[in-house]
Amino acid sequence: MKPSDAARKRVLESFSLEHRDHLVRLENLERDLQQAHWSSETVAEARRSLHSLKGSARLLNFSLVEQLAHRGESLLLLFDELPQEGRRPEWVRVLRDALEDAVAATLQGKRSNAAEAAYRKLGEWIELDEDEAVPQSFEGEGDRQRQVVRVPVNQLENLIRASGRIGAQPFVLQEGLRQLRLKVGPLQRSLVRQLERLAAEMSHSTDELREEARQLLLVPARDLLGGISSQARELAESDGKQVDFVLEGGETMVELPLLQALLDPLNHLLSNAVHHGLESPEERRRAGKSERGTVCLRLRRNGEQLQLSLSDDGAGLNREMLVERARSLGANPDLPTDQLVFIDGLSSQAVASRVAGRGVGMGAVRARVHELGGAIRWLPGEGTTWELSFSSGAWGIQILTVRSGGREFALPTRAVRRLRYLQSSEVLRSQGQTFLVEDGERHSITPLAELLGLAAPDQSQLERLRVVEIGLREGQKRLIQVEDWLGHLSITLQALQGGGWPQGLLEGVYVSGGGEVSLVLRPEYLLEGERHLQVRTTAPVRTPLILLVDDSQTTRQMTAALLQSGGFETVEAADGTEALSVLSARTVDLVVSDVQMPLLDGLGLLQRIREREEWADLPVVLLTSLAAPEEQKRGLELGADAYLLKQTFDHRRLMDTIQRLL
Amino acid sequence: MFDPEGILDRRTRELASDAQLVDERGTPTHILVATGQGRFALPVESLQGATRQKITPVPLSPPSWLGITHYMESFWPVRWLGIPEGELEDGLAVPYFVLFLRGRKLGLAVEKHLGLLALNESDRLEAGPALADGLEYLRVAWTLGDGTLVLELVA
Repeated sequence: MKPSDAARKRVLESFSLEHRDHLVRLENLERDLQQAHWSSETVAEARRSLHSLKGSARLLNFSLVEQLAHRGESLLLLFDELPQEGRRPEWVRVLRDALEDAVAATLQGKRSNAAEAAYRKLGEWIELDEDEAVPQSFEGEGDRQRQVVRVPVNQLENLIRASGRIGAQPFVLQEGLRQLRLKVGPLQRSLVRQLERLAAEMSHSTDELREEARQLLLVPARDLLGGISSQARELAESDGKQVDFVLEGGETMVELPLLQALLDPLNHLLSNAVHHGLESPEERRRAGKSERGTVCLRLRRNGEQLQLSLSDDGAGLNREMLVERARSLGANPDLPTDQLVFIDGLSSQAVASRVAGRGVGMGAVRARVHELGGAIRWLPGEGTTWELSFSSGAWGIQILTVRSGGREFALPTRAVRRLRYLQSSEVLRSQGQTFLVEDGERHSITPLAELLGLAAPDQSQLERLRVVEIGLREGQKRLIQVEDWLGHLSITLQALQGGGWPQGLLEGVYVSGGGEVSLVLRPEYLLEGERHLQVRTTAPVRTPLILLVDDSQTTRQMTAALLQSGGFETVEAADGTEALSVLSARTVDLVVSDVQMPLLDGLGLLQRIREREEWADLPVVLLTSLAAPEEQKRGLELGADAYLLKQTFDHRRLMDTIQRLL
Repeated sequence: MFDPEGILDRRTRELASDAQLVDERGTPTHILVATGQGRFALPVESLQGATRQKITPVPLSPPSWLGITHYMESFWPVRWLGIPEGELEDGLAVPYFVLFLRGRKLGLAVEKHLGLLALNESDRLEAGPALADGLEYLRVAWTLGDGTLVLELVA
């Protein structure tokens, strides 16, 4: 299926539902006419429905539906003037049935002879000259000969959601395999490597799948904006003006939700261009211009940016008028022209009464554009030109959803490096905080709930930690612990104006599957989270200092290298007396000591330490080759916190012991 | 037994002497609501809508801000009307009743919707004070005998 077909299907589905409501209003009128108690209000209601249907059909290039609705509207406009016998319920029924047939035929890409016949009849009833050809059910049928598969919209949405969900799985699989590789022997390791390569390929394929799913949202701009041309002409005619409308870049592929959301702001800009931008034919003639004005809508993509500009060749913004109106509203009249026009309430007043009811001010247009994550600016020059720009990245943005503090949040995947499932033995806990020691560096693991000031269940006893590694540039890394990671989705992100929340906390919002507002956190805020966190932490976190006492320099150096790679700071002493000097001079968090040493041995050192009140709780680990049980017993009786044997030395056991004691 | 519902209903009826509560046949000018600080009325024409809404709280926000809601195809920040920071009570019913201000992207949450009023334009204060810090765009336009503050939206 071509992407534009899929997106168009979604619009057609809405149109199909909407047109049923309009038909019901015609049925109401027909019923009232049959019972001979119709009122002007019933007629007006039916006429409004026809007007709305005409507008929707025009946007979709459904010419026959549009023209039928237009003729029906004309018929009902004349209704009050028709003689009694002319107000026939069967006319309304013919109109209603013709519209129903035309919509059905159009949606199937077929012609409807009945609807076309009704179109001619309506022409006779409203006494039109029938020189013009009957419009086709489906304009551009020739272009639509490509094969189309009909797919219910909800299935398409399910596909997009499913592609998002599986996106998170390779992350988890790769991390699981990495851990498995650390545990298995050389024979199994090559098999694990093969699986890792497979997982990497799977990750690549799911990226492609997600991108393909995103493409399903793209639609040529012309599909939705094609009808603007006749709208411009109609607006101009109502003002006694003439206009040529030019759509440039109609083939530009645009995300359907963005295009739909832009219809209102574009309609307002178009209305302003025709009503206020273009001069009357007389004024244009006097100014040496062609009597026909030009309004141009251009679309183009500039990398990830989508740019739209709407310009007219009229007289340009009238600063004097804007200043006068700003003054009457009590606003600052000295603002630059391109800011004056955005003052709340100003543009609405500038709009003629027939349009005021359906339009909003330029301030509201700007607010809507900002809400869509875009920007709007006035380009100086001849006539009036407004430029709207949007980052297409905001449409179909990829997010990872996580749970933290019992609530659901989303992170843009542009910042997610890895999902990590860490065992408790891989992390270091110290002074109420958790660290991952990796590549000789200690990285703090911060619960997201803590960063967001939310209460979270105690996770210090968890065997496995779910961690999201985020970063936006080379060398930037932050580990954020979550209670669970939920999925990987493609969403339409919307920016949010106003609100009293912290500056920069939110990247945007979206409506989740359950219909509720979900928050997308800005990674930059979380990456700066250390700063926010330190504000709440009373004591800054200090790297633990470990004193290594051994008369063998080689042993000291080996143990120091090991502990430093684990993120600890070390200081060394060659015997007990030297160790006591160090203890007096520096704040040491833990002592690892040999037992047999000259001058003052390890047991003597331990005894001295325990005699001093300020060192009474200082953890001491004895690391010795004295394996006899009585030696161990003596050490422990003197107050050693652990007794490890050099003969069975295991660096992981030493690290585990130290982490436990700290 | 303390019956807040009954008290609110009784006090609403008492309003009739100053401000006529209207039924659906009348032409309302104001919507009457209750907050933790008393009763307020806002002009119907200053609202884009008023309805019960679920609200998503935003972490790290001041307590006067409830969060974000989705209404009429758009996202709205919502804050409390009339309850100052730090004095919020727990256990308020969810979803909240929200007044959506026209021309200003803001929803004001209240505890209870009491009804609609028809007020006499001639009783309006000439220059009423602003409501409170952070709500400068709301000005008191009437004060009714029972203490209800009738507000208007400053342009």
